[in-house]
Amino acid sequence: MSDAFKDSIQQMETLDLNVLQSFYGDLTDAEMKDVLQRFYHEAKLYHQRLMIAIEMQNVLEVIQVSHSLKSMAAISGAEQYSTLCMWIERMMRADELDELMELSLYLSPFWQELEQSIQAQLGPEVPI
Amino acid sequence: MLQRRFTILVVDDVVLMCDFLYGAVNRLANCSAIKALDGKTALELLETETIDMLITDLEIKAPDGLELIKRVRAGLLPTPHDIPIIIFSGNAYLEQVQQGINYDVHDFLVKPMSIDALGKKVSHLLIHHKFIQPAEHYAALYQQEQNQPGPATKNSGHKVSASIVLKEPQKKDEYKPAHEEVDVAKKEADFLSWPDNSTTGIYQLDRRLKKLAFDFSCFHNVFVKNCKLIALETERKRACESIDYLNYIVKNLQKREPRPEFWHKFQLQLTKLNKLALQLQSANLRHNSLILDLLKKLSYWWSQTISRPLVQRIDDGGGKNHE
Repeated sequence: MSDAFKDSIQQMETLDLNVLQSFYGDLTDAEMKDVLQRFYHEAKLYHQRLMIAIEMQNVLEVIQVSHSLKSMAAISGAEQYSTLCMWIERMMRADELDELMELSLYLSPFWQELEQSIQAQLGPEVPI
Repeated sequence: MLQRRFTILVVDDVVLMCDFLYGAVNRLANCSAIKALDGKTALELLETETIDMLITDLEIKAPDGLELIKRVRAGLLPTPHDIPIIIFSGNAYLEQVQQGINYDVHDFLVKPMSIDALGKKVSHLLIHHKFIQPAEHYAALYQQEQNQPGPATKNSGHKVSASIVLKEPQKKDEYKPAHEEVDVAKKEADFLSWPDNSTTGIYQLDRRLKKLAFDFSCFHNVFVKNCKLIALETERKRACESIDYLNYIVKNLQKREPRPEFWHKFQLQLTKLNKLALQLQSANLRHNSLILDLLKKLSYWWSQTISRPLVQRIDDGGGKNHE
């Protein structure tokens, strides 16, 4: 991947609650936490599926799962992770396996960062 | 302001997205949403509930979003055929948009979209009616798609074609004999085949050529079995996409693999293939002799391409010709 891409994706917000608010409209604090929790629990399963699909080079599964993750991360304000999934989908559709493998290296660290950001928003009283 | 209560069916296989749609609709005055996570549930709801609008993703468990839309418009369900329909999808491919237009979908929205924007769209479409043709019009279109030559169902090769890729090795240097990859397809798809233990010397290119052979074999099978026109259309699209992918891969590989002589010869072949692709794309699929002629040309192209010097045996150091 180009350095410009690496720089730009690194600079993106891990979790931008303003984006989440802009998609969902005005949410109360409790509603926002509920959305984040639901996003986390569903996205976690998709994330695991995506990791396996990439490992297995399962083309259709990579495309389908990254496609779903892209949208759900986007509306939840997970800009960086959503962009990564968008690129993974794009590279898989273009059969760019080398690029895909390079991108997949970001998946786990980005997911961990996202996990931490969500936990930070939910507070210690709501373990995810 | 809406004058009566509207029931809107929202369909998406991702729970979060489905809930998002559900929430967006329920926020609107006089609107209540019901949701489905797959095509089957959606179909049941369309059969049992009074639905005033359908908002659906395209890529859902069978029947997919387009199939739902077609059945509604063709009047095959108790739901009025002229209800407003919105496609809410993560991607907007030309063919999908075209199908949407054919069945007079009211709008094609691309995810992500805010609840407010979505709400405005929905309210607008509930008030401003669009002219929808009589159900017979769509029924005829649907029937035409269903009844054109043959049984090439969705299952006839599509999933198999995907599974070929799944079985491939991860590393370029781990060569996998071609027969292992095409075994699944061989029973039906032997129009073009990749010679065993052969290679261009570039793993990615081998892989793409095998996929091309498989896709054209599927197209050939569907054609010779007099399958439905929609199946033939699908296979044609897949075959043409395969050529597009090949072009794309070649462009990238040329930068990585400095083999000028090889690429010069391969480009000559690719140019011929692209000409055939253009003919295939614009061919009338009902014109059997034309398609047959194209297939013959393709077969000839393939036999030229998988011969030396482009493709060589692995086990004899390139000493044999594959023809």
